Amino acid sequence: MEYYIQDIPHTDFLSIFVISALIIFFGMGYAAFFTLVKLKLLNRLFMIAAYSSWVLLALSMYYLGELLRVEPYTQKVLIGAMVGYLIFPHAVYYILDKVHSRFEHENESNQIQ
Amino acid sequence: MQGNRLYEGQRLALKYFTVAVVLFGAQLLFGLIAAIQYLYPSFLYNTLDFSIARMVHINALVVWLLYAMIGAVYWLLPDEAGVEVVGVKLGTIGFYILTAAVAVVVLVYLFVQVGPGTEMTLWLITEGREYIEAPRWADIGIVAVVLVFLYNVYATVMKGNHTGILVVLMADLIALAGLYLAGMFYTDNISIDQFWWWWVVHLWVEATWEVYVAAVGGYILIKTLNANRQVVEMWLWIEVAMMFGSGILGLGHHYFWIGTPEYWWEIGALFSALEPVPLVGLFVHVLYDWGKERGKGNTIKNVPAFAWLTVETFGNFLGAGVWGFMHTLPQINLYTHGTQWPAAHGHLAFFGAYVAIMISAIYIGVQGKAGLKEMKMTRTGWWAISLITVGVLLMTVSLTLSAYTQTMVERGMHGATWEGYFIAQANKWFVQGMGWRLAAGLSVIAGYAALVYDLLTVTKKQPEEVYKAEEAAAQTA
Repeated sequence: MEYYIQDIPHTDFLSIFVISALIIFFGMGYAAFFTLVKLKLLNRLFMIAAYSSWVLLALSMYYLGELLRVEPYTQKVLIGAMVGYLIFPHAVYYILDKVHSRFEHENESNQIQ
Repeated sequence: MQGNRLYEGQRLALKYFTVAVVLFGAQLLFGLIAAIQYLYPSFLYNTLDFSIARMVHINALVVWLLYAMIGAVYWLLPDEAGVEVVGVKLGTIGFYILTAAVAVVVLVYLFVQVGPGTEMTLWLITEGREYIEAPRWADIGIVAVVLVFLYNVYATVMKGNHTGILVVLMADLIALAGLYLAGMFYTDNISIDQFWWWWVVHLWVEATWEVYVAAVGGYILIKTLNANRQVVEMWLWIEVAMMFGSGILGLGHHYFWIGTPEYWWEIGALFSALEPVPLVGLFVHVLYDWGKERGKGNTIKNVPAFAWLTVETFGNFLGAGVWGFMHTLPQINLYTHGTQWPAAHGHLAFFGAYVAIMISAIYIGVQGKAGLKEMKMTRTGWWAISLITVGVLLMTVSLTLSAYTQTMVERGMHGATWEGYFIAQANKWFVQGMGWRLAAGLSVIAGYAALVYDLLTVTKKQPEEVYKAEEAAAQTA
């Protein structure tokens, strides 16, 4: 079935703008809290804030999909992307940590001689 | 650098940086004039109309960023490759040709302004393509100078070390320069013409410039934090992959406007949502390196450059990420396109993603020119970064308020009609937003004045311990 962009009532505009901004902020909040706790710059309890941010992110994304009247398939893909984003900071931190421990003692100087 | 002696390529970089800072001032001045004209349309009417002030404002932005980008490459190229820039004399001649061409183009913009709309206008006055309006003779000159630049980069890397940063830059610069060609030819059909023009700026800002920033950002992290090269370069490759993936496919969010098949909107929507991910990754990376180096007790080698890099990280995230995502999905972009939303997004995104990191690179050049191992922030430097950053943030919020009013009144309530346009333009909330934007512009201008003063004096106003450390290091050597 062909899908067309649905009209959005102007009363939904503000909600769309705010939710869109919150999606990015919660996304950032999750990555930031996660990294700071891992680096031991924040207490481990702040990991709760990290995962709470992710839950709010996923809920916001779902709600945005509703507000934008996206088709059901796209809604599923967006939530799938959120699950992917749950793994993302773990993967990035893991790679950075491994690379750091591998190279840290290998070459103290960064200058190319 | 060879000890405290600069490479010739780095001296050339300082020339590029100098012109970049001057053009940055021109960009701000003409932005201020355009902001005044929004509130007082009769200001300079028939002398320097809004269309001209805006044209100079946005073209100066693109040109000064390109100057700073070329300058930053000439600065890091011999440092990374470990050899002098090949063809540096040719590069210097190119610099003077480019600068003379830019001066002539600006004078034509200001004193001739518009032409009869014939081939002559296209060749001698303006091509009329937003952001890249240079007439064709200047276009050809720019291509010639950029070819020299590319030759210098490639020949130097071939002769010297092939670091990851340089290899990424080599690939990226080809794409960056090649895209300019798509904005050079002219077709009689304005839709086809705009289609090609559109590719230039969008693939610059959403892909090739982002990759460039990641590479130069990596170099600055090494210089300011002494960050581990292998880590920086590994991360650079990941960012490159993510930026090209999300950036290019994310462009689909614009396709609503250019008549491509509808499935592109969905692809665009999904990858637009993923576009902030590399930015988050970059943020995690900077945070990680800072946390690690701080834990080891290492000091920051160039505080102003690192401070501007931090502004870049947050500004990129807020401007490109938050303000981009707020209005960019096709379903809502239908209502926000052509309002002040893109202006709000554009101001913070250009500042966050590109301006801040170029200022950071210029501070690296200033430190290198003075031969200081470490450079602290001066009080003027703090004023500069604060006034400019707060000014741009306030400008963005003000434009957002105007944009919201415009979207609701003009697009939502009056169905994007001419009548709706004029009703929205006269709305008091819209006008007040524009007033605050002007005030914010004045803050940025004041910050710019402080920045120029600081760039000229920062190396002479360092705390005593910096000079003592230099003396001690010199004696040891």
